[in-house]
Amino acid sequence: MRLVLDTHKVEVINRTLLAVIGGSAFSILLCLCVSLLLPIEKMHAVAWSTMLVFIVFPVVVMWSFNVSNLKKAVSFLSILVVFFAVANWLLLTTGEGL
Amino acid sequence: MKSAFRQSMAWLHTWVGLLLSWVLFFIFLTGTVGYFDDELDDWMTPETPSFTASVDESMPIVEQFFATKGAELKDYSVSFPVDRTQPFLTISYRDAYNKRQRVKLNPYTGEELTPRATAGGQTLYRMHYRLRYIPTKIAYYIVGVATMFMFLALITGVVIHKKIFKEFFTFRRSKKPTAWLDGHNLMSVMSLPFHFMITFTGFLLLLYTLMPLIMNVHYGEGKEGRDAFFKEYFSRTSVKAAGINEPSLGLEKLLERADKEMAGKPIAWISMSNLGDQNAIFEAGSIHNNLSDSRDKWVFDANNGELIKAQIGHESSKSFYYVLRSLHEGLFASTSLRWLYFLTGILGTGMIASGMVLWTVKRRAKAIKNDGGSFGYRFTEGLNLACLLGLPAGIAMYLTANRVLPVELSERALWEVNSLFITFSVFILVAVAKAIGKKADSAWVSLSFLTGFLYALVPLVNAVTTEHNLIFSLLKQNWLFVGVDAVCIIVAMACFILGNYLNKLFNVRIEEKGISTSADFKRGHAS
Repeated sequence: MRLVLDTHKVEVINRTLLAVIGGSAFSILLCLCVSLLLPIEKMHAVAWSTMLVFIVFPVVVMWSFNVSNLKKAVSFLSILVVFFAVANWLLLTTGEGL
Repeated sequence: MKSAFRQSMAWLHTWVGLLLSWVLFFIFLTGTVGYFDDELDDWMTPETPSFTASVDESMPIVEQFFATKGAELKDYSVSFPVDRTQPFLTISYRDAYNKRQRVKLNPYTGEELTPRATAGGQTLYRMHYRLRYIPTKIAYYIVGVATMFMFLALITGVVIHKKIFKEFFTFRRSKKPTAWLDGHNLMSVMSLPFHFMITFTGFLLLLYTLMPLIMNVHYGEGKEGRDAFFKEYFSRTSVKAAGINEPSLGLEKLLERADKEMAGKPIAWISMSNLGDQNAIFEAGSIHNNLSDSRDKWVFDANNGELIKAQIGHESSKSFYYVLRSLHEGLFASTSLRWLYFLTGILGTGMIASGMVLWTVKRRAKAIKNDGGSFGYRFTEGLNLACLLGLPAGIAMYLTANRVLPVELSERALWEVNSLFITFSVFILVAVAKAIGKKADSAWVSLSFLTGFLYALVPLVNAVTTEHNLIFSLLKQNWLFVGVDAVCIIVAMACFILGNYLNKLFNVRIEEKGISTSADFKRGHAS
């Protein structure tokens, strides 16, 4: 069970960081976007999207351990995080979906 | 790459599992026992029997109680002994000094019941998400993080074992490390849907504490935003008194109205607010006996008996939320389903426990060869051992303390809980000290026997201090007391068998130590 190769350990640590930091940022921002866009009553939109966080996050964690190229994965996730951050900011400032 | 992926997942599974296994074992065991929280409450107050009485049967006593209290009762609620969660006729009210009072009554005689002060099954059950001795919020976050690790451990566990169904039927009993591995797989797979369900729904119960951000964006920061959302979402309405006197309908009339509106559903509780005021509200609720009817209630104007709102079932996200919540809490479960909950919970606890043992067993042979292994290994083995035996032993002491602590002791309930954790701490100290001193073998054996002894003690102490000894309980068919005694005896026997088995195992190993090529060694080393 113990990983003998040190590069493997570094790989696992990097992937864990990607999973925890990138994963939580991505899942929260994605679900916030969903909550802003869902065309249903506000309280239900909040409830559904909050519950969605707990499904998206583990999926991202699994993905970050599955993806073959870590560098590509980091840049891909960063782009998505920035995209959803901007989308949320636009939605909130223009008041759309609220 | 695929195999490297599986290898890294296995690495993750091992270390993530180990890191939080102590917390998860605590959560799973106390939570599993918590499925019988109300039964344990009854067991821990042996001087008061539990009652079953219909609303009609209890009403004379309720009216008699209100008659003695006079007219000053404006806000009160009554829960009738129609369900396992409500063993007495309970009336709570605000007294003349506006203080909340709660009395438990015999529904047939009206006699007030004053059982001993006890932490009860409720405290044990509450520990599984609230932990103990640490601030609530921190406890919630620890439990939340542990839940996420559990979720990941489950997923990675499934990923590691791609041949999950083939391995499910593989049990190699004779080979030691693989027998533990197969046992671990068996217990995990057997109730895998339960583990996924209980872990995911665990998030839902702490949902807005763990993930308040989306709520905050929509409803505002901090407590205010939270309150605003909760008021809207959970429709927590409270009506203020108008200050204008208006006579209310009699309780009898209101109950008739409720009966009619509830269409045959039995009333489990009623509540009255602002009696005698223009804004008097009367509410009635039914028993929670299926997945989707939690928190159903009917709200009436108490002055003219008009139905204001019937809150039956939920829509959209609320029905999803409440059904999953009910699945986790299992409040709707009948006795047989409750036992199934208990057994699958025990399997989950066993899954975590066997994972902890597996971690130790895999490193044990190598450690023995290297003069007892590293400090880290010994410390971890000690902690694993302390948790696996210390917490069950603590629960046994918790039950014993309920029987032997003097009734007049101040903060009696607190001392029951303390006796659990004092036992647990003693186990941790002994186990870790012994493991660091390279005497883990003897600690495993002696602590197994000690735990068994503590469990054997429970039925004995119970027989001496109450009139509910096992034979009497059997004769009277008092299944609750029979159940607790039986479970304690089974656990005690299991601990004695375990101690005996380990004793033999370790003695054999010590004998074989001289011969460096013992079969056990090779096998352990090869894995």
